[in-house]
Amino acid sequence: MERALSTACAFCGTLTDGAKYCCPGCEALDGHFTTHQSQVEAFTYLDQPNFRDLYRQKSATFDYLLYLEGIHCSSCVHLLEDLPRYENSLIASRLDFGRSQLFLKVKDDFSLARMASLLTSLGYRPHFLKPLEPTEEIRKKENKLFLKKFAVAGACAGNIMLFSIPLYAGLNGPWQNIFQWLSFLIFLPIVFYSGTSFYQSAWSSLRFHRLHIDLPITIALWSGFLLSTVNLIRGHGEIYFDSTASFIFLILGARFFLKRTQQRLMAPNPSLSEDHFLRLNTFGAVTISADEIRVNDLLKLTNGQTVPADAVLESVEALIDVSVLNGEPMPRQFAQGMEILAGSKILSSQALLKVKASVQESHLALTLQQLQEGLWRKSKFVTLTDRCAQALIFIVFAIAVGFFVLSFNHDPQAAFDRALALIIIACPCALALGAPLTSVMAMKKAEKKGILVKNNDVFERVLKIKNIFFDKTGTLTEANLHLRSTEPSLLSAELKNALISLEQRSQHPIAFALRNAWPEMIPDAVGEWREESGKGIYGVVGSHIYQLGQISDTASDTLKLCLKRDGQNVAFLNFENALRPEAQKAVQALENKGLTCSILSGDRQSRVNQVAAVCGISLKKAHGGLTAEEKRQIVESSQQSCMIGDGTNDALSLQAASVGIAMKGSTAVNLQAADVCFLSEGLSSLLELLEISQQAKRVLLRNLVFSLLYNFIGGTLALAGFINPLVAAVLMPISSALIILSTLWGLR
Amino acid sequence: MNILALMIPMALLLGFGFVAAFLWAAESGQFEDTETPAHRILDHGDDERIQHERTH
Repeated sequence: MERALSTACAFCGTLTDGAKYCCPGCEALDGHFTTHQSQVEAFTYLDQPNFRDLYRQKSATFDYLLYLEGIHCSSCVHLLEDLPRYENSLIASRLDFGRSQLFLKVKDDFSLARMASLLTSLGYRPHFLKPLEPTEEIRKKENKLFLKKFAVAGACAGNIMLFSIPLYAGLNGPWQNIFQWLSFLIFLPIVFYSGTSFYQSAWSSLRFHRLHIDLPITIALWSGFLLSTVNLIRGHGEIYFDSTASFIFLILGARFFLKRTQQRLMAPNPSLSEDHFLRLNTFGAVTISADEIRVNDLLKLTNGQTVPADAVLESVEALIDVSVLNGEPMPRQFAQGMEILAGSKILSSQALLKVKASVQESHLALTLQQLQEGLWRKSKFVTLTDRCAQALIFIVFAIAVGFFVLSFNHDPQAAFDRALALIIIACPCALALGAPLTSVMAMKKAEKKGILVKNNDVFERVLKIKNIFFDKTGTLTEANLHLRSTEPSLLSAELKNALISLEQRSQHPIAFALRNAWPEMIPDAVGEWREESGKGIYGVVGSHIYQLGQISDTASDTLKLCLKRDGQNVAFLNFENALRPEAQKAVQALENKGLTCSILSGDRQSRVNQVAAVCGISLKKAHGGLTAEEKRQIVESSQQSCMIGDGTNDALSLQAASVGIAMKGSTAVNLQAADVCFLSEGLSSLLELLEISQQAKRVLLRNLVFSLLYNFIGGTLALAGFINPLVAAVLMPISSALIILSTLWGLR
Repeated sequence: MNILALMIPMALLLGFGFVAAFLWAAESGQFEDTETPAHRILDHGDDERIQHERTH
């Protein structure tokens, strides 16, 4: 099975898994550029006006956007950007390597079908993308704006620093005044451009009485600006332009990297599900997109397609995989007239469905809608940083006002100066810098271990969890069926070949299990292949007639198949939905940490009980036969809960839980609803997530203690009158550098 | 000290010239894809192994 890893690509020299070329780009550039027109038929639907309009982009610089699977190295960039050389209807082609997106500018005679088949023959899997959602566009614009604000703050802070050094070194006379006014001028863009990102949230935090860290930042920025300007005009007193500018720059920097990391991790994968369906009418068949599906349409779906809208089966019967909807691992036989929910997968070679609800009103869309409505739920969480900022504001302002009132009679000028100096120096700079930095580093660390954390307060929420709810199928058990044993225990190559050949086009879990069990087998042509309900599949391989059928009912936990050759039983195959090898250990480790583990499954109670018994979960906490809504209610009724699942029926509970985790191989809805996505198979990531969260919390606490200590000492010095701009200019960067080092060290 | 009267405007002009250049670059989308240009520069354009004639 293992292939040699030593072969070098014949064109670019990178190591390959044994193939001559590392990617289609290299193969084509090495002189094997061939286009097969044979595949055009599969894509002809793309050239219908409805699909041309669907995928047409509203941009001045490109007309169509594709997501390509199979982008590998520089050769791909050159080949794909060189496409106008081979395809006359292209004007320009640009590739975004990191996102695997190809931007095409085309002439009027451009054919989407020809393009798709050209890319397919080059070895890529093309997916045309619909125009971006408006929210995506807005997000892009916001990013640009933030980058510019950050850059301007950096440039201004640096230039103010240049003019401040001579001042600290003792510059006197008319130049002193000129340098101070220059600092003032360069500070203006910070107040009126870069700093504006803080004002909005500071204002809303005042309006909604929910203190946010941006409020003290805004206060410090403005008091620094006003105090310095007033002193500048008066001609004496302290000027804080340089230190205020540099802390704004540092905070913007930390925020910028947090935002970048968050967006990179959250970047939605374009949905790659095939978005075209065959609608039958009295004249024949037309291909339509999901948007065009109407109630009462008659759709013809083929093997492997996902049902786009709730429908009723019109064929006599069909084998349908509903595992994403209710967690039942084995496909179910549906009979004519039965309702099929959107999201189910067709496993029969074809099925006729009559649409009963539009795509927007279907089960799946309603789930999405419910998810949208539930978005506000999670925003109620108040982070440790915000709570600290809140306390800090009260204390600092109480002291500043108290000090001002008490020493007003003594020396009003000094009282004012020192009270303001306290507010500037006690700006929770370290807090504002340390918290986002800790999140970025923790997110990066988690990403390296295959855990995508979508939100920076997840780490804090994870540590509060008391109850963990597991989905069964695909979470505690393997997502796929597994060939456990055969009778006889060793099958001849001929029988293996027959089995693989019979199942070669099937999307049935059994077919995947067989392919996984014998990856070395290459399927042969099958003659007279047919499917008979209840009896299994028939076909001629070589010179024998084979029949593969199921002999035990689905109620039992294992599945037994019988292979007959020319009517004689020749082999039995046992399949099972195996428990993940690490499931028991993971559950035990979590229980040892004092967490309560439960199972929430849509599958039968008997199978749930079996899994619970092996994992050591008490039967009282093993719930079977639940609908998505019942799952959500259970999760919601328990405080500080965590839900882990992979099916669409888990999406609502993932959102209701304080931490929702999507397993590897989850459905798109689930990935969207979850706070955390596992990129590696299995449950061990859960323990790693706990570990990283604990580490992040330690670092955050250390940063908090340090910044409070710094604020306390700095504040005392300010009130005592020892803080002048030079001390502030030295103290602030030192404290920031210490915070950065402590964070990098703590989450290395 | 009078040389400062020349140097300060020059320094500011230079510094904020770069800021303006950065803002322009950000606005024109040059920081949206920072990965592909690194591949693009390795163009095999002069590699005679590549067939350059149109194939249809």
